[in-house]
Amino acid sequence: MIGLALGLFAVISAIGAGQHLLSDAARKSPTAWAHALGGGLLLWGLIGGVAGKIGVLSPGFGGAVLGLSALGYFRPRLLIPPRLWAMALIAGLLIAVGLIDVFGPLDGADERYLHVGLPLQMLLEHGLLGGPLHPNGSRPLTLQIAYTLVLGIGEVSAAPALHWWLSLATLTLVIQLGRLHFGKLHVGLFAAVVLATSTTFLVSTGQAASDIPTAFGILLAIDAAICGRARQGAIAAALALSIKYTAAAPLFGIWLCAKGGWSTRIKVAAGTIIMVSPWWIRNLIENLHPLFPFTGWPLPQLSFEYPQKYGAGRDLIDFVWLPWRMLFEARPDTRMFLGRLHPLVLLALLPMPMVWKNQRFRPWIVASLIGLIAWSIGPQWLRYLIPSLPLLALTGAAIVVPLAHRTSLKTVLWGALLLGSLSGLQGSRRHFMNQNNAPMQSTQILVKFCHEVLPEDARIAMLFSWASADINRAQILGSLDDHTPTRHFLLRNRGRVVEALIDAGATHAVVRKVNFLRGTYPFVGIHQFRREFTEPAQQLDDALLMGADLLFQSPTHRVYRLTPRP
Amino acid sequence: MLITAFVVMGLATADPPIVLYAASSLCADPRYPALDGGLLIACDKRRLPTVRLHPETLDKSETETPHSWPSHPILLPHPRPLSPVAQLQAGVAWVANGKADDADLWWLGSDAGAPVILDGGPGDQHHPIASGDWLAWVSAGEIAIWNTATGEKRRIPTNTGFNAAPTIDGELLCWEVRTQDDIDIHCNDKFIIARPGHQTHPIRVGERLFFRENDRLMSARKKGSP
Repeated sequence: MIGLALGLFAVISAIGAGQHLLSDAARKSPTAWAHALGGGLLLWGLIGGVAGKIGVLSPGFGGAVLGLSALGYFRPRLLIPPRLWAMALIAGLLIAVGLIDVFGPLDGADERYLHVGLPLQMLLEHGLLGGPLHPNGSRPLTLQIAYTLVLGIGEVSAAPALHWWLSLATLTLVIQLGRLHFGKLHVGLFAAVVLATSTTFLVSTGQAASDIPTAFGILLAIDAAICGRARQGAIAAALALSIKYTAAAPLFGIWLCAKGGWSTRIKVAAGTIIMVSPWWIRNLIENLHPLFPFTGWPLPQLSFEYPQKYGAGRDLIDFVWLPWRMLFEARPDTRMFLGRLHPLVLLALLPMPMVWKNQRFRPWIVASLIGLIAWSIGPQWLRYLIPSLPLLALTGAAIVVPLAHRTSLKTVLWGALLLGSLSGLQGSRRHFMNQNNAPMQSTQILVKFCHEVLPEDARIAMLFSWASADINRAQILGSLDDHTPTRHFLLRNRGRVVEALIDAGATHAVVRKVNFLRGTYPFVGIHQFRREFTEPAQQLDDALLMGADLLFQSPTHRVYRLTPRP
Repeated sequence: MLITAFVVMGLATADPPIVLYAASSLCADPRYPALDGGLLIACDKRRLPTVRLHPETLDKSETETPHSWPSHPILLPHPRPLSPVAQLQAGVAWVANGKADDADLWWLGSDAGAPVILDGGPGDQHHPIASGDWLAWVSAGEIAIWNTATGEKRRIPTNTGFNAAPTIDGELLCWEVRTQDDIDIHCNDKFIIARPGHQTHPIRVGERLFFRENDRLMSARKKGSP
């Protein structure tokens, strides 16, 4: 409960800080609370980035930022629309089940190695981390700084709790935007139900993640674009982009349709770039490509990820069938789409030609479609669609809800919503029922061993492992999925792996048993597959056998002591 | 034929080793293949330790339930997670955490009430193994042997314990040795397995030595033995 309370306090504090970025007029708009929240998060990211760069990112710093930000809440006061609390209550009820994840152990791989793992590492090191040894630390870290602030003064659940509150804020904003931009509360409610009954969205709410906060930024951007508020638009776009670059596609669609003409659009774009650029400049200062780790790796060249690995295929016919397959063949427990959506996310868009000429719909449709197309080109996991999902849900709801003007049609529509939710929620029950068994026993034993045996000042090389958040020791090289950071390190230091790990400051290595399957990478040539996947893993085993001391071994992990040899 | 001859090179003191394909399925639990109750326990295709191999005849049988290690009394200080506990008639030896990230060897005699440190101090004192009255372990790289019935103690100067435990059968001991190029196995009766690639995880049963090479279980018999 402390984590949940701290997450709420962080949201209130962020609103307190962010409202000072709004003009007096903007502070009186119905969505001022949301723009203030977004602005606060962006501000924290920039302040935390500077603090991290000069090495003062600590629990004390986190407490000071949260406390001072909270003081900013009282004057001047924001307009809080009278119905907002009711909307927030509905949103909270819709995603209440996500609290099971908040109170349970960390379950998501991403939250363990990135969204919680990285902030915990930054707190241990009192500063930013980055470069090839911490590639995820070289991304823009707006959201991770917010997680760092709450983790500094609270328990681990504070990060997923903050995310749950941000999810609640997102859903509240969805309801509110339906009312504000389409004139009907039912539009927002309809969209909110579609989202909350999509397993992909619902499961994400209780995990520390980045997709829903990105969606929040995108919703703020479209609200600002339609209302012609350039400053808020730039802040919102910068927030979304500095949480996740995949926001770029829907933001581009919003930007194309933004009110105010090209001069305003150029100003907004410039403002956005200025607010995201500190993260790029930081990379340049550290001799990295501004967009590292997504590109710009030192030799040997490796693909950071393989979009072809995911989804339903890349041939033309695959794209034709993609909408059907992503709705009806996706399952949360298979790697093809790794999720499940309410069918109305796309089906409600079918009558789109009827409203295309209506200017009110134009930015929503353009942004939704560009977001959808960009998602289909990238890795086709459904959670990567979350940033555009509220746009799609609201656009669809705005199209179909007004069509149901007769009682019989209303019955059909709300019946479809209910029936579709049975499809959309597939896999949710299993996820939430299994939550308390989440961490594997062998991982728990590994964590126990590391905490009992490894010295407080140990620095662990996490090789093929994503258990970063579980182990309370300084670390390098944690990785997931394709394990690009670990494979790159091994390929770059072929023949002197143990020495290179020691040179990088590692005193110990945690090695997860890894088995790259040829069938997972059919688009990679056999020689390249051997050279870049199987051989580095084998060479690591050989190097550790010859040059390190095995301290612990479980069915899934080994722990080595790395001792410099004379 | 479950057993297929394997081409060997460079063996000084062993007849050509053979691959025990019947016992070479990878195990989920890295403690297997292992010796227990005079039988070699290996894994089936589900990676569970259900395969039993007679170490002399190499006859194979399978059990329905996977092998599990015998329980031991509650030990304080607690043994390190997943570390072996050596049980003898005279007592129990186990590994607990040392003062840094090193390990100390503890002993609880059958007739004594309180556990004592059998071998502590800097470096790792670990990998306890037992055969009859003999207890052996790795002490900062060297092998220490103690006859718990007679009190006789010996040390074998070497540098092992970096990967798997040594093996003991009566007074016969074998252990892993790092050479310039790879890992070999040495025994205290001059039985040596030195082949290209790594030979690890020795299990000695009389004149026969089992070991792992390229994820396969191999068997070698000392040259000239019946």
